[in-house]
Amino acid sequence: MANMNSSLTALSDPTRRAVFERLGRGAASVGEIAGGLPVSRPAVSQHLKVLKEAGLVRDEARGARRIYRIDPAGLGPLRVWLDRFWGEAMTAYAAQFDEVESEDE
Amino acid sequence: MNEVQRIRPAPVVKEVRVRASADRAFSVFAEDFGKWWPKSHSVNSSPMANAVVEPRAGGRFYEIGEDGSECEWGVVREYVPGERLVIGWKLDADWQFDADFEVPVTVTFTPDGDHTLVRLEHGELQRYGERAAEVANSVASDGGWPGLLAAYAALVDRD
Repeated sequence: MANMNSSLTALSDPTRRAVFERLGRGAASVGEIAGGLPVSRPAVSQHLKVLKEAGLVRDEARGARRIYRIDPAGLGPLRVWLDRFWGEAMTAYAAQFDEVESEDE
Repeated sequence: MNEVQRIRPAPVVKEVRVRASADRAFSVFAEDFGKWWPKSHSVNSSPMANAVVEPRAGGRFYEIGEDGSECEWGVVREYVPGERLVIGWKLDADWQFDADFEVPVTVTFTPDGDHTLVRLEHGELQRYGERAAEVANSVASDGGWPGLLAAYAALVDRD
């Protein structure tokens, strides 16, 4: 459950949002991110760690470098929950037509 | 630093294809909302009797309990019959109405032969985090998310 809390609050820090937004323009290494922001590499690493723990960002090794990208399933549990919520609602909506259709036929 | 506001996590998107004209698909969605909306998807303490999408921009989007009590869910932002419905969704991560919180739920209706593609998008998910931070900063909070967490835990437990 700690993951839920962190995924919702990880973007509350402006610098962390800037790091996240940089990744929104494409995958990047720590050095590339730090090069475009007024933030040191260790600070960028720390922000990436929080974003990663929050399920917003994932990383992979590419040669000697580590590349970070936005996790398409970001905001983790909130997204999972909303996805299920709307899935159930839209299934109920579509079922309404099956009913109408069979009534009409 | 203004550009950091452009963050856009992927929205939650649901699509269904129904055998009906776009006009009919829209009217079932909006006018008959209370007929098909799952009764379990309620925020009221009283069991849900109906839910209403008022047919105009600026209209109310709310739930009516069996005891007659009403709970706001949001505001109708766009109401274009047969084409498009935009709800300003004002239930926060705790599933509580919050006048200072809003994310768009956009539903579009696209004709596809004798069917209609209905696409629902719940967007701007980053607002949940931003609003959470605002609330956490303005009130003494245990940092918890009791409503949604409990609901989420219940879902996980059910699996």
